[in-house]
Amino acid sequence: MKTGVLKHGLLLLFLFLPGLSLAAETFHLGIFAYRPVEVIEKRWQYLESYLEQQVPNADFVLHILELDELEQGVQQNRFDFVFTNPRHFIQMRSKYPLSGALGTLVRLENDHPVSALGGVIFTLKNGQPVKTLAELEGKRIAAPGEGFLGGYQAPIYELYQAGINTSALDIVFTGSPHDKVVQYLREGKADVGFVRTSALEQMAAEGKLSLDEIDIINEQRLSDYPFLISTRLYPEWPFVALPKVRESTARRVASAILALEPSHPVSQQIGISGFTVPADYLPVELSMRELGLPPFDVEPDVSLMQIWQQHSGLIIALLLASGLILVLLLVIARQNYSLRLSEQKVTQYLKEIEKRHQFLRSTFSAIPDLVWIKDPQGIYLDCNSRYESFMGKSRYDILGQTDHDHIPSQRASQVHIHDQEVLRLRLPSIQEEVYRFESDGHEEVLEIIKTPILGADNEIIGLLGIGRDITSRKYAEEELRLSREVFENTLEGIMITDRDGIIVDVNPAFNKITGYQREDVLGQNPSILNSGRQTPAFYDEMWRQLKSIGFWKGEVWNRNKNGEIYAEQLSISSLKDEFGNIEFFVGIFSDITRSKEQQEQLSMMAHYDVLTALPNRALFADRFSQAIMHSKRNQTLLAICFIDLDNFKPVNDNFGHETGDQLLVEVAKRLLDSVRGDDTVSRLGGDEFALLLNDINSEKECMRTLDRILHKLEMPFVINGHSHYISASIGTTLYPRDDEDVDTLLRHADQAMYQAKIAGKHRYNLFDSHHDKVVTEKQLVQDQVKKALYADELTLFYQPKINMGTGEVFGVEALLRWQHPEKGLTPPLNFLPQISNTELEVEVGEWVINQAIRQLSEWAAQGIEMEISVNIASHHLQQASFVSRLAYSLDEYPQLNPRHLQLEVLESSVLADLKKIRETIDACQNRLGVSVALDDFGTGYSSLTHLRSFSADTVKIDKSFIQDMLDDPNDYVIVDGVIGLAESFSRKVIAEGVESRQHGLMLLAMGCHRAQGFGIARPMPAREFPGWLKRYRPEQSWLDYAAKTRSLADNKSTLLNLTFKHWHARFLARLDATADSIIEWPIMDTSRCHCGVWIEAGQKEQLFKASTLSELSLAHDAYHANASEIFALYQEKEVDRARQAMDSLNQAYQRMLSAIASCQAEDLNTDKVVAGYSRGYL
Amino acid sequence: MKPLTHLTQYLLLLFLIVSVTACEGEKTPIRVATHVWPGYEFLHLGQALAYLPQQNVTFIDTGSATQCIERLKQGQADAATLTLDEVLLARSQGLDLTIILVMDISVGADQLIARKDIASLQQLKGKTIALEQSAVGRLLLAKASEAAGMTLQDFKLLPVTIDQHAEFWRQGQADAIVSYEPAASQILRHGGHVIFDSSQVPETIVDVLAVRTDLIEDHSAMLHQLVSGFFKAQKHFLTNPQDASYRMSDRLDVPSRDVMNLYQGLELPGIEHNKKLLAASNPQLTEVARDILQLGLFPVPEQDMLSKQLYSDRFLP
Repeated sequence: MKTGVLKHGLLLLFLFLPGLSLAAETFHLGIFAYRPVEVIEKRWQYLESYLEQQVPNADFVLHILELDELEQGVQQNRFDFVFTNPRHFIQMRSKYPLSGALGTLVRLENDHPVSALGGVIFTLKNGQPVKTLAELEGKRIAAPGEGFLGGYQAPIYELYQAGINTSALDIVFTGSPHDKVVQYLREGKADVGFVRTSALEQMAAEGKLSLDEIDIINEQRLSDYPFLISTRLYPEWPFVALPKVRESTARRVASAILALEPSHPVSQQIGISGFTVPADYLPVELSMRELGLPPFDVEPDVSLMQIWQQHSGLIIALLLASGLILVLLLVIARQNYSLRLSEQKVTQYLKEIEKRHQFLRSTFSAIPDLVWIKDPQGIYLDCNSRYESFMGKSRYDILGQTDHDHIPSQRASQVHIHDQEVLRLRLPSIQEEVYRFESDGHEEVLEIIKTPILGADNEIIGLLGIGRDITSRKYAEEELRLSREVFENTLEGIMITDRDGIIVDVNPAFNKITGYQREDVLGQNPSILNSGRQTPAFYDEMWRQLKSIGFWKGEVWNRNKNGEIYAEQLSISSLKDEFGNIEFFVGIFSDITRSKEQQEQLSMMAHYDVLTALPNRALFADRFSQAIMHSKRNQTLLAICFIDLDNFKPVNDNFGHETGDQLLVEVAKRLLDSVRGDDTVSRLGGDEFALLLNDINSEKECMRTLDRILHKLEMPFVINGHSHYISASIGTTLYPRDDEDVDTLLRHADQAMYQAKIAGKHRYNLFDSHHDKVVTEKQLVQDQVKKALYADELTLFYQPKINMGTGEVFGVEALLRWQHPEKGLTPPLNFLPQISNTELEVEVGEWVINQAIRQLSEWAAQGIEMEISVNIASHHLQQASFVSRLAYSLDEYPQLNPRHLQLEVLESSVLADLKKIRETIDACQNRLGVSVALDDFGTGYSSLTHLRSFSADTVKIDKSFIQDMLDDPNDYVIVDGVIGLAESFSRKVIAEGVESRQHGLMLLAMGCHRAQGFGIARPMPAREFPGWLKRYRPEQSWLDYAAKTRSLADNKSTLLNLTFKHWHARFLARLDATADSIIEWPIMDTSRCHCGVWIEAGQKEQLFKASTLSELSLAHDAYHANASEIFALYQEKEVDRARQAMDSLNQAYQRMLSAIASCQAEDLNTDKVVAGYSRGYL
Repeated sequence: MKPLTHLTQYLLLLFLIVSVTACEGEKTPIRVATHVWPGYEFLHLGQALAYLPQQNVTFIDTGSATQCIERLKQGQADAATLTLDEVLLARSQGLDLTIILVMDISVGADQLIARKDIASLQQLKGKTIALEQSAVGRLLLAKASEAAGMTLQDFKLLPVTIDQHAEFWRQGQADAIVSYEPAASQILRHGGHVIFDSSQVPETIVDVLAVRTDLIEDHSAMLHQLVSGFFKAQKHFLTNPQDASYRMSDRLDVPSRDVMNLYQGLELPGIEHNKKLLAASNPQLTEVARDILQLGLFPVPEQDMLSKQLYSDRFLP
């Protein structure tokens, strides 16, 4: 109490202190008391203090109220927030503007959060047993109140769904809290109770009830729902902010309540799980609407139905009676209406008559014709102004008098007689007369119409005369008559159509030309004459011109009534009305078929075959060029087929040309029948036809067509009673696979046809363009080589082979050259591959052998004893006749030593047929005594096998190895290995491709003495050889090297020396070369270069003294360090600095040389040397 | 004029109500074979809410679609809840069924999941794709391939039953997998991403209620009730999801709060949508059926299968 006073005092103080208005705002929170007030207050007070903590400067006051009090408070705008049941929320929402729910309650039951509620329908066990919903009818039901969702609405809705009339239920409302419902049942004031879910469980928890006491009706078994329940579920209570709450406050409150987690002390104190985001309260509203609960308690539409059910008879009777009355009323109204109409009509008529009289009078006087009226006696009763001017008198002078008073009596009598005639016959008469006008003397042609005027009793009361001026019409008629005459008699056809092109008139000439009668075509469209020869575009253009300039002229092919096509020269003009709109079209035409036909015939002869009327070759070519476009656009193929008839000649020979011609015509017809409309069948002449097939999608499609043609042509042709049997051979090529001009394509098709003929006729053959090209090219070269062979353009060059150690020239290799008259000297690679595996290759090979043998004998005569080796192709070697032919050739020169002839067999060629080739080689060696070399040794797959299998005398190391052995340790090892192998198998070995002194020295150091290559001599013609031989001076360094007996150390060191110097030279050369030079850098890697490998091997084998090797290794490293530095500088384009570094490189170079020299001088550690074997680096 | 038409409408309604209730008494309940699947559960929900009284409709719970078809064949069931391909399978086995209701449409529930480094279907060319030996899986893959300009021949297909999908994926035995919930979520947790799902092929993978065609006439009234009860339950589900979740959680074997998650990727066609799908003039279902048949899983020729009308809209309310 004290603190309260203090609080209020302070509050007042704050209020009266200006600028210190930090007064707390008070918010009122209305809570619906569904349970006893003290229970709810005890729990929810924690929310009050929680909200005060969370919302600054706010006091919250809880008001726990019964539903109607709560409702009243809302009405009086006393609350800022309301926490109530969904039912009440929906009710409020429909009445007041609410800012909506801030959150939905989540209850906690047995640690189980629940945010849905429903109703429980129950009885006490000791009361009357109630099992089903239906049994609730007639029972007393206790519910807390109408405004409760779980306690009223949910159970009622369940009953409603079960088809129970809920309005008839006996419900007593206990008021809040739900506990009272249980109390009512206990006190026997009710049999059945409605409460919301969880209420019973809470009472049980508070010890006010045991759940064993009660029976649940319509129990829903929802395993996941922790409360007893009899109804559907609805969302839990909403926490609602009223609109007067500022949005910021509402937001704070919302976030505060949503922050209430199950673990939050406040949640635990209240005994809830917390709040969740506002639920959708639609199900509550829907069920309220369905049940018609306030505020949705308006009468539903369905009641109409009930009215009908109760009073249908009465309603029908009422409806019928009202219908009858309505009909009667309508009849009366209708009669009244028609009476009034008749009255109006009479007045109208009177007025009308007056008006008509006035009209007549005005018309009479205004009419441009002469009008007069006489009585039956001829006395003028009236006339108009035109008649006045004709008479030259005024109306008053005329009326009352007869013609006799005005015109000569003879004429007047004539007029009178005629008038009387008209009256007597009682028929109008028309006559034409020329009248002279008395007023000014001009004449007019008048059409006089006289009509008797009959009275009401059909008696004649007068005569009406009308005279119409028809002068201009008369002239027009005359002109028309003339036009008609021309129209009728002209020889040109004339056709007139209206603007829509419908024929309105034609002349007789039209009939003559077209065969159509006038009545046939009137009302028709001229398109009936259309022959279809002109394209729609043609007519479009015609109409366009007609519409723009009104005239068109041209030639048209039309079709007459008999279906014959004729040509006409046609001109069309449009006739326009006064507004410039086209009214008619006049077409004038003459038949020019004959001249046209002559033209056509000429064109036909130029483009068509006279006999068969098929397109000729020229038109075929034309069609082809058109079809190309189509083919490109549609990405389809064109087939060009060449057809030649089989067995046609006998027909011509036996039955005469006439029959032959008829047969060709029939063939043409069948061909046309076999192809599509846009394909072209052409006769090229004789019995040759060509086809152009469009839109071919595949070879197969083309073949189907050709099959069809073959089939059609093999059917018998019956001509003059004889059956003739022929067939056809067809060659086809497909454009653009065969992308050539039409002539070439026809030629290809012809070739293919020829193949078909060869293959046995009566078939087709497809031209293979790719194969053809390769074959053609190969054939071309073969032809040329063949020609060259016979024209003696082939020749042999000879490259010397020497022993480097002795300087002796012991042989030559014969190399084929073609002295081409235009291209000059041609190396064999340019033509030999083209003739490989042909008869020609054998022929050339034979020529080479014979040439070499001849050369051997020639040189022998000159005292030059030489071995000549010739290259033998694999195909040549495999010829069965090879040995015998070689024997024959050798026999020609019996004085010759056959050992001087050496056959060089490619290592790779012996693969072909091992056994056969071995036999051949054996025969050559043993029977003929010629020697054999394995060429290009080392490049094949199984060199070792070959060396073993073939008893070749010599092995030729391929030049690719020799050339690279100074640079590449790998190549070096191969060469070394081959030399070793040859030695092991006791074969001679010769190195090809020796290009330098170093190569030679290196080979000598490795033990290979025979060599051949540019470093010794290039190939030369035979005639130059003796001169060369005389001049030849062997390389001195080679001789020197070989002359001395070398220690193993010396040999090994020489290798080291050579490769090192080579490395150095190459390095310097690369430095001097331009950046883009093809010279490659030597191997920069210290351990992978020759020396590096050498040193490593030396260290492993311990052949040299360790100290020597160590110095060598240091010198090598130093050298490489220098070289690498220069290399790096060079790469960075620091050329000057690179040059400066050269000095130290040179020093390192010298150091290396001296280190190598000390190796050379050293005696090898002989313990380690295996006798006779010194292959490898050491 | 107006009140009169209303009147006739009421009369007609009255007549209908009377005639329907008149027929009802005589009939035995219609027997529907079904198994647990979210899309089918509205039937049970309908029964729980008394929209489908037990004296009219009884459900026969089976373990799988195969058993459903078996029940139909043995005459122990009159109708069954099936996927479209299962209907076709049954038809291929000589069991003539008519679809009278589309219960749900997969819009993303069926997914093609690939390893993270595979961005598009093209990258799967020649790779291994695991999938169930069912038409749905194949159909989805076929549709995905079609969209990417490929065919099923472009992949190595590996049949794996749904219960092994997640484990299979974890072991890295396939480059992609065609799967559906709940396996799909597990697979995605092990690394992978969806490169195609059924939402990209609208109205293709559908679950339906199919009836033995020979029983349609006899059960006509019951079928009307069955279908309209289904829609009432479906409406309840949509308007009061909370209540529905509690009622369905038991059968679906998930806590009530997770029930709604099961409907992700499922479209629930209402009455109007059903009318559109089952209209005789709408070729959609027939086309899908044709697509399925072209997968070549059933030996029976397409014409035989589709010669008789596949579906009917006469029972829609």
